[in-house]
Amino acid sequence: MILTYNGYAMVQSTGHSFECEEISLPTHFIHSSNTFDLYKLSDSLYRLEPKAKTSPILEHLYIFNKYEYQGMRGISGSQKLFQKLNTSKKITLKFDMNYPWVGTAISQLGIKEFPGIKANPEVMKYHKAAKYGTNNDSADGDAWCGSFIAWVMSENGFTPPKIAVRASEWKKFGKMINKPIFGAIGFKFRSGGGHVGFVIGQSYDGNDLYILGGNQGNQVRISKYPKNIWAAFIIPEKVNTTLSTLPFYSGHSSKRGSEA
Amino acid sequence: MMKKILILILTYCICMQTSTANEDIIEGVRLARDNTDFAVVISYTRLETEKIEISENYYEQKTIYYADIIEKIRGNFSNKTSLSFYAWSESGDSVGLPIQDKLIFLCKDQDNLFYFAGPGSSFIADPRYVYIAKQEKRELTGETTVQFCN
Repeated sequence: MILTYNGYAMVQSTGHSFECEEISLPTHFIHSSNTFDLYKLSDSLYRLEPKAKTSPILEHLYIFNKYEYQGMRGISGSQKLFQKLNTSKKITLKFDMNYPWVGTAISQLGIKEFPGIKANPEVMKYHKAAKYGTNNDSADGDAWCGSFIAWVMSENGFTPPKIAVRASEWKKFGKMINKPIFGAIGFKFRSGGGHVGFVIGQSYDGNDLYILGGNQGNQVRISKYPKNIWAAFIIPEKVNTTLSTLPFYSGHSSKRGSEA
Repeated sequence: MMKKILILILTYCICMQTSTANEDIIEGVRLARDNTDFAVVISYTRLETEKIEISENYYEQKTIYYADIIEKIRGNFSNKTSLSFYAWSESGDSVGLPIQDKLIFLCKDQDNLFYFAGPGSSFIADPRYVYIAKQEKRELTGETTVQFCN
């Protein structure tokens, strides 16, 4: 399944593999430092596998066009193989995906709360996953970032914390890690609540994080935040983070909390 | 006959849904009650918002709500007939003034100012919820301790 969002092609995960067909939005990509092996399966079908068995990278955000592979900064060895792909119509990407919930979160990009007393059923499903009893999507200033995480993690077989609507409750979920990695839940503290979202990338200078979260400007979107405002990073207990990294992000985002 | 059966089934389904939703809300009221020191029923009157710089060139939104006190439930509000409290949100997030009376739970900061206890701390001022808010707090255990104020 291919999703498009603001001009980017995004390939949603289906279990542990990704399939791209007729990708034709080549303008941006998120790169990694991984190298890949490419296998030609037929004249029109290729399999691309990362050499690292546990790849934390945003593979499903790699973007190809029909004629050439754009970018792939830092790649060695396999780059020439990509150049041979210029007539391919179909590429199958197969990965040992460690963070499938990010694909689920990406599928929700653009979901917005309804203004006033109306409630967007898509946001209400997040509250339902958080077992938060309310009749309004953002009633009385209630944030829904925590509920969004609850829905995403529930869809991927994880049990949210008891009061998942509260951002700070997510510190009780899984295990704390000492640095941001791709797919981690970032927690930002403030009195009477806080904010949570998925870490999906960093700026080239390392000073900012890109967070995919709910209730960011009243919607699900990717936003840029200063790195130093994040208090904790959490990952599900059983996830192996040994090879985890945080890719640079060069895609679309909104800048949160800026006067600019 | 068939029509009556269908109506009965439909009514049953609606009742079951309402019941489930209420149970979630009731447990929410209990948790807010158990984890905060101030509870009050209010009628909102107005609000003000301002952007506060949290980090260099990074701002968050502080909203100050003003309200008339309808009923004091828990905590010392002295002789006040109105109050104000603040709440934080992401910069640019929409804020609104609820029309209905609300049962809300509050915390106090080091400057003795009230602040909203966060998501899960505001409820319709339904007599059932107000009744629960007035009940004694449960003894906090790992299950019921939630970081509402800190």
